Amino acid sequence: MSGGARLSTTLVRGWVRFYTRGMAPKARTDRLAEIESDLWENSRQPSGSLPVGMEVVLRSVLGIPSDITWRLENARVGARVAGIVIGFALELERIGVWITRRGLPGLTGLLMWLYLGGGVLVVALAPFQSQGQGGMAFVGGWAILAALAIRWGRSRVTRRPVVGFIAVAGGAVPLGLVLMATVVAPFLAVSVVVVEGRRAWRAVGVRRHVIKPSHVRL
Amino acid sequence: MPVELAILGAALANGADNDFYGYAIARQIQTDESARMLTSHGTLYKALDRLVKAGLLSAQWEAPEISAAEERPRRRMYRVTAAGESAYREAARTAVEVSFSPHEGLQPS
Repeated sequence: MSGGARLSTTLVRGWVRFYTRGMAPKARTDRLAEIESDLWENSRQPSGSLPVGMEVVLRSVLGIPSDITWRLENARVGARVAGIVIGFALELERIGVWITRRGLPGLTGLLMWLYLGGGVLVVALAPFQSQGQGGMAFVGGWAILAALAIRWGRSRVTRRPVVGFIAVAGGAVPLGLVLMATVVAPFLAVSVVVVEGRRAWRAVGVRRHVIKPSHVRL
Repeated sequence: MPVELAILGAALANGADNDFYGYAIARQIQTDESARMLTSHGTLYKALDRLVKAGLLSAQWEAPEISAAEERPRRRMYRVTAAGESAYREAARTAVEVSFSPHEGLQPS
């Protein structure tokens, strides 16, 4: 198996462990075992249209909304609480849109510190886990890199808007999607993309209208 | 196409008495362009779970000796139940009726 495929399967395993955490033991072990079997079969008989690693990640990412709704349907808390959680998430999203339309630059810093703090914590705790240390260390390392990408991108958005924006979005969104179940991470990630996208867009507009020294007649 | 219907259709195309597992049915569904998106992990296994709970599929883990002999993880094997087969026939019949157009006649879907 290639390095990319190994990385993808580790990522998918980590995601399945994450969203099945706290479920009834049988439902959890069944889902984990079924995905494990799927990953094995997929790596041995790929569809051929994409590299195995990419196909595995794509199949997992496209199913995230179904994973979350399945998790809520099978939650021990019952339909009423699940409804409240979904309603709360939608309300957060609405507030997020309201905030980002007005531009709140502090959100980018907040997300960056959340990723960095969370990443360091997860990496530090990984050796003390009885199993899944590799997956935890991977997610923690990813969070730290994502935080650095957000910081680097934000400092460059006004000077190099496209590169800066790609760095911010690339750092914020994929991890935000993986942490979908936390509600806060994807909400902040989307908000940050909107805020920094607006800054980048303004910077592009300013650069187009800059008067170059060669255009000035003395 | 609802994924549950796609799963039942693909399974019945192989014969109602044949067992199948998740990835095999995903590969089969993938050949249909309109259903390609349905083979994501979340969508596929959620649909299989629903079909089992509705009694349209039966599911059981294969014997550990089989997977051990082939050196791979255990597969969860599914089979279409009699209720699943009749539900699929009924859904397919309804789909044909819905696609009937007074101007163009009956269009099998």
